[in-house]
Amino acid sequence: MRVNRRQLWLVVPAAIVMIAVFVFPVGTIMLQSLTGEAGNWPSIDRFVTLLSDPFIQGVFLRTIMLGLICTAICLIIGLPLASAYVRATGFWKTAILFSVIAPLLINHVVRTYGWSVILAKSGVIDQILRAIGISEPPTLIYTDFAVVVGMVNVFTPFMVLTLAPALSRIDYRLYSAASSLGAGQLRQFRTLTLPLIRPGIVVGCVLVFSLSQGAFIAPLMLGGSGVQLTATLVYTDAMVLYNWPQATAVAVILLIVVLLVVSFQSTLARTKWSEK
Amino acid sequence: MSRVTSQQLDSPVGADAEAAGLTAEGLAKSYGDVVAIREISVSMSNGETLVLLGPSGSGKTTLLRIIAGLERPDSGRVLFGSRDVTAIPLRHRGVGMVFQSYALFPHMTVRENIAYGLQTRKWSKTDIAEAVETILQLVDLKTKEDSWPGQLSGGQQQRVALARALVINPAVLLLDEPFGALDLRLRQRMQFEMRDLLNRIRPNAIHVTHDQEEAMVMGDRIAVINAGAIEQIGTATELYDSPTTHFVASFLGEANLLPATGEQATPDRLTIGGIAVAVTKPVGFGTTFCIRPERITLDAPDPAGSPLTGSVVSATFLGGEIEYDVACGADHLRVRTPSPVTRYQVGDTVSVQLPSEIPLVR
Repeated sequence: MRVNRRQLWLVVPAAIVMIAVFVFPVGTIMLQSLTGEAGNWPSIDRFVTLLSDPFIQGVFLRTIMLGLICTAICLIIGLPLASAYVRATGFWKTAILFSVIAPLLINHVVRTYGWSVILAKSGVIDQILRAIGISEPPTLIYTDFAVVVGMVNVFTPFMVLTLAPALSRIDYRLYSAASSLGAGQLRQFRTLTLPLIRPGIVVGCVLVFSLSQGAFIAPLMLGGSGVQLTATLVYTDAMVLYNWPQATAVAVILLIVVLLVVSFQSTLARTKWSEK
Repeated sequence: MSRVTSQQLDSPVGADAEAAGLTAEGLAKSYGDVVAIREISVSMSNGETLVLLGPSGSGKTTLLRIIAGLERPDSGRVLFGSRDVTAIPLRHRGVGMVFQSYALFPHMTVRENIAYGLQTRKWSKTDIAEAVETILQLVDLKTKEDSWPGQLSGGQQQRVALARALVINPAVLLLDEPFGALDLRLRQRMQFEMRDLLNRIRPNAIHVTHDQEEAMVMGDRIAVINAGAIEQIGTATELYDSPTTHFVASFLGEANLLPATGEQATPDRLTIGGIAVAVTKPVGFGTTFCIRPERITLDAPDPAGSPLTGSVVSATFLGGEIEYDVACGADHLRVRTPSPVTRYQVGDTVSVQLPSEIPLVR
């Protein structure tokens, strides 16, 4: 994109804010993470120790696993919802859009607290399970399951809002053409919809996965102390143990994981056919 | 073709089954209070191209959609040969469709686009390759087989769309304003190209358009549709030379429409500028005479000649022809003459010679 040099000053306010609230703190964290065990600087001691610690490895793997599960569920829930939204007209279109966006308007913490009530021992679900004759319902709250439920609830709108424009860009006449050529719904979905919205799926998944890696409130409120994830680990290190160098090192590893995923995005989303 | 069995698996009314033309019987369709098709019956013989010509909102697209199976008629039947397909949805009807936007699959190469309909019919890889190869030669796109649709020109995209529809050997080929997206010059070239191609393959084809010239180029027969009903159906020559209704006369070409007088059953006089002129050979039935501008001749005024004189109001040079606006009393006539003959100037008095044979329209 060409930018008129004389108009460059227009980005100055935004640049100042970004430097103050993003570049500066992230830079500080990165520099701090290079503090060695004995206070020497720069050193990669912290990373070596952290990455060879089975507990920390477990936390990272678990965060990534839960992130992948959460992304998959968001996709499975989000894709039908997005196509329902794209196909709907009038009242139903508005209704679907509202139901997707409304949760974003309610505070994250409040919503997650809601889940902790629903999933609690002798909470709604527990009661229903007992009522239908399950005498010992499984514990729901403070488990990986609860964390995934909380994250899916928070992140699904991001998936839907990414997929909907991709779906609406598909010319509906392609489906008529495919029908005339004998293709059923399933075949049309597999051979037209999926490949055509692949870039949207990739962007949505990368977005949700990245968000899930930094998820803090769901693991804190629904995972309890039994489920440590990367973000809660950073919190414990920094705010409970006051081990800032370790906290920053974990944060930097988290940042690298997310950047790796994001860097694959353009490769995965590339389509040969749209290049001339 | 010899692949009836493999096709019938997927498509019960596959194109390979015996297809003896197409018949629409008493079709009607309304959307709420809006009547799209009042009552249409039409039949076509094998290998014929029928053009549905009409203004937008006339119901021609609805008729096409009913024949395609995209819409169910409120009443009436659609028959492919002797088989009633009214209740069969598009997917199983075995029709080939070409859309105005072409609706090519953008993420598939030319070859993959064309193979799509054969893959859904579970043809073997070698049969598909062979059929695609043949059709690619036919539409002259062999060199583009691995291109993406986005890399092709409008005309090439249209040929791919046509090939994709034809390769399944459809019971009927449905063309929905196929030239609508092309600019005028390319459109004219593509019309001749596609007509020649269809003449070689001779599929049953139904072609929807609002462009009268396109209709005359493409159609073996033309059905002029207005307000949800067929006004007249016939070859381009029949429609042009002997239109039966006002609408057909003015929609297909230019027409001077003049009130007829005389005997109720066979009027033999027309009134122009208050003067009644005898018509030697009235053709058809109706209350209005339709005279094409090029059938009228102009002469220098001659007291012994035609009883009809007029004065030239305007003369427009159109290249091959000159179009005159001639005022006869309060009425105006449009007259076209080949340009090399004598030119009249604005204000000239001319004697107007009407043809002896004039069709009557309702």
